[in-house]
Amino acid sequence: MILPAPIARRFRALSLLTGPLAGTAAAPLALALVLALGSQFEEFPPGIQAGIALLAFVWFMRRRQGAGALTGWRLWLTGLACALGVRWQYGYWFGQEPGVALVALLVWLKWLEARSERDERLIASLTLFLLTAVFLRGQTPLHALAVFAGAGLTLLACARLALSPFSLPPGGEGEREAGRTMVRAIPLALLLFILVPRVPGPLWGLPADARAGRTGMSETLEAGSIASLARSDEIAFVVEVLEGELPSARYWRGPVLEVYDGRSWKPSPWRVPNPALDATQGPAQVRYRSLQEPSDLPWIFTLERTHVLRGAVDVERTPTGSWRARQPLLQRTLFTGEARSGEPLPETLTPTAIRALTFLPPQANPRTREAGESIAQAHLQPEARLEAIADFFRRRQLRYTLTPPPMERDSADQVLFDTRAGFCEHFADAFAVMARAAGIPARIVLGYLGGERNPANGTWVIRQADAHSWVEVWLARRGWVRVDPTTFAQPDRAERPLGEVLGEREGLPLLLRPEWRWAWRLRAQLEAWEYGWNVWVAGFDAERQHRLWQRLGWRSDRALGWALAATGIALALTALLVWWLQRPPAPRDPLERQWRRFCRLMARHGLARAPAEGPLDYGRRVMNRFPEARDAIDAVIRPYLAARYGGRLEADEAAAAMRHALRRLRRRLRQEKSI
Amino acid sequence: MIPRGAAPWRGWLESWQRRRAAAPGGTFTVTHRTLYILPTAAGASYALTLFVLWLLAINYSLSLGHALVFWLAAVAVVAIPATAATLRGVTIGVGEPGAAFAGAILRWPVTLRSEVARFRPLELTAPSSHACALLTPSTGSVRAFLEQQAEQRGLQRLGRLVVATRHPFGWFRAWTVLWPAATAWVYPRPEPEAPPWPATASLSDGTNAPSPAALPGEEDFTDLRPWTAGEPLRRVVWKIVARGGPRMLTKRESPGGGIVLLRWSDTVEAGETEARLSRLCAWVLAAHRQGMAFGVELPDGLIPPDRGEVHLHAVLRRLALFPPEAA
Repeated sequence: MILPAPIARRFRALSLLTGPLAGTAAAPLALALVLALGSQFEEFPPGIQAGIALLAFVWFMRRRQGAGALTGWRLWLTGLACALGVRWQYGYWFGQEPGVALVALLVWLKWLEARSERDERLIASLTLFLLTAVFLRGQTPLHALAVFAGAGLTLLACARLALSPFSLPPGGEGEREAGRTMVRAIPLALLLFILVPRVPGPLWGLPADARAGRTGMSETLEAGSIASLARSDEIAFVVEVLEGELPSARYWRGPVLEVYDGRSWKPSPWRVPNPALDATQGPAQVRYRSLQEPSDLPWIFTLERTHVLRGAVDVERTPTGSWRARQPLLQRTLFTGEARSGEPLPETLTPTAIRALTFLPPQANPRTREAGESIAQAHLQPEARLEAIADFFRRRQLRYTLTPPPMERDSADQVLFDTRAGFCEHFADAFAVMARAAGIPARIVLGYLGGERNPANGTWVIRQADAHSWVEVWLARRGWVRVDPTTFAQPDRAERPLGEVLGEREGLPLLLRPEWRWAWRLRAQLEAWEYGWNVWVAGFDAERQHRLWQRLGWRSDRALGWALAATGIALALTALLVWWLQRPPAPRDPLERQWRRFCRLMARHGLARAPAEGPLDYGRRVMNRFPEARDAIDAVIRPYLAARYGGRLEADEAAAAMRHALRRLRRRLRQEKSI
Repeated sequence: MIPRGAAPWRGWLESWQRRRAAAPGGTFTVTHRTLYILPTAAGASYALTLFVLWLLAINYSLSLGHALVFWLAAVAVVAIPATAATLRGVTIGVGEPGAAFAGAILRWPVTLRSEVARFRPLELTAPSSHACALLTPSTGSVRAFLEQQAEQRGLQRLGRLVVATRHPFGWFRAWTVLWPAATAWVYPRPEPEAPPWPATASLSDGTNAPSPAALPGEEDFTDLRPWTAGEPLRRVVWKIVARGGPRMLTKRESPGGGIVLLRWSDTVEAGETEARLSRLCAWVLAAHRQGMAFGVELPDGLIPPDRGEVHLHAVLRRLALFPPEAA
């Protein structure tokens, strides 16, 4: 195609990409690198981004000009600059992120000095590494698409390198065959994915920097810490009910905060085992699977009274009954949990624990303390005191709002006596302070409330906007009892989603607003697919794999052996299948097929046909060697000659005669051998 | 591949390969019995890369990282039979390259044929020579030339011929080994500035022969006659053709140019055996160029004088096979 000069000039940047690199292994390799680095480009700090772009540009210009390999001090100096740049941008060298950044820079440097096929193969290896590193940033279908496309391009580059002595035009039969080989490998790859036993990681300690800066719940409660989450419609976790039914008030418990310093609530550092947790009663009522999105914290949000939790990571139950992993949940992780319903056995507290759980700093919230203390004087029984506090809250006519007026200190006082408006954390804070002032042990629970059902796959999606906090108080006769002070301001919050509860619309995510249901439905479908992907593809781990093996009927103690055996068989079968698929095809001509059978038979008896030997000569030689079978041999050769050279016999007819005669000949030869 | 260093197992391996490669007739078809396949250095480094990526996937529990590694590994597994199939079924025939003087280049024609239409990039390696040949689905056969220096006078063989392929990714190398039966005549190297033969060599009229060195290229174009179809092209004076003229032949090879007997005993001053053979060779060529009838007297016998191409080659072969110890 001939373009007018001005347009051609404008598109020269495009033609450069195809022009000087066309047909070389460098073209697909460069594209693969662009895919690998492009998919994680925004994760690099600006200095690294600039460095990658600069080196790539220099590499491209030198290639275009046909400049030779870079050597000597300039190379070493650039390498040193790269290392120092990484140190400067990250502050350290040894970690996952600086490591990837360093490879991303050095791959271009290596390419600048590449001379041989071996150098380019090393670059292909580094490209594969960078492609895999993309999955550290995310494992969505889009990431998978980019990475697998990049890997395909890298393999294409390998194919071109292997073909380089032949100087072929691009896109030829050789490259198509390499592509076919890649496609043929897919079934085997799927088998390996399912069968090769997964080694539970990590093998070495995860660097401290692996994934940082996620949004989500924090593990302390301060005024405004949850209201900021209510504006985010990011998914926190997805729950799939396997057995039973979720209660109508779905409280998902996270960290329990027991230590109060007058401003904020923190989890207790105590690790005293709590035997009361195991002494729960009632059968398991709900079995569920929960897919938790990554966060910076180890907390796993579980249904209340979850007594069993399993996952790909080690989990432990804190004395407060909440679940945490031993390490922060930096990856999306799948858990299976079982929860009971009904009343738990009452837990007993030591006097020391009661003192700690009713502690209030002396100066903070004087008015709330005073109100709590007066309630304690008016009522003797804790249950009555609790009822009085609830009454007090109801009478205050608190307003539930996402945008409460700012509060500096004594937030409980301000919520109850000044602004009389707040979000869940304000109410929980005020309630817990007042309960403690009234002598009732109280603690705050962080977690999520509600979640909505995805009609596309029946899962429950819990978003950051569902973040909630409530209070648990301890009563000697009943143990820990949940009280949600938000219901005093908004009685139906526990059963209805936030968007319906809040009168004010501004600040709510768009899709939580009722008039946007159609978009909500579309998103529900997308999220259903995403859940399937996350559970079955991206979340396919050792646990999932064992579950699948069990479904295949492999007993768990033998499953590993079975899987290894099946892997070996799959490898061998694939190799054999491909070998067989690529065998020389049998001749379509029936006559020729029978003739070859005859030649093979005689070759087994030590009489291979010489390449230049015609059927007549060959027949004569065979007959001389086996004079007893002369007539049987003749019966094979005669129809062949008649059909092939004489044209006196139809090919099919002759082939049938030959087949018959061959059977006879085989018998004869066997008899002769036995004699 | 077999390393160059003479390992003790090398002899055993080669005899094993020879037994398998023995094939009747002039052609050789690669079958599973004569096909060898091993990973290359590139394949080993690819495996190492996959191992590192696998560790990365394990450490960070990257399910898709596992998927990528397994796919890349599966491609390598499927590449093994693909590489083998690229070579299997290829029929290799090595032709005779014709005669050459020692020090010149022998061009061995290698014909590669396959009945199955398939893309087959093949690399041919023989001692001190290398060539590439490409069979595509549309070409049933292809001819490549292996250029080898003619080293020692006598009968030369191509030697150990390796036909290999690294298609499709270069991680595996499939190869076959054969020892082609084809031979090439290598004549002694003619002495470049040979002195004229002694006057006693001429048997016809006793006149001194012109110096052989002065002859080639110095033709005066007076004794020319037009070329007619069927006459040897090598006597055509191509200088005239290059100027746009007709094909003309030199008349000098016409019978009656005299008779000469070139004697081994006349070459004493040349030195050792090989140098003496070189001088004889130069004389023979000069005599042939002048159209003379020439005979050669060697310690082990006499070739009576005659003229013509057939006689020339018979003499040169005799010189080529001259036993080195006979002197």
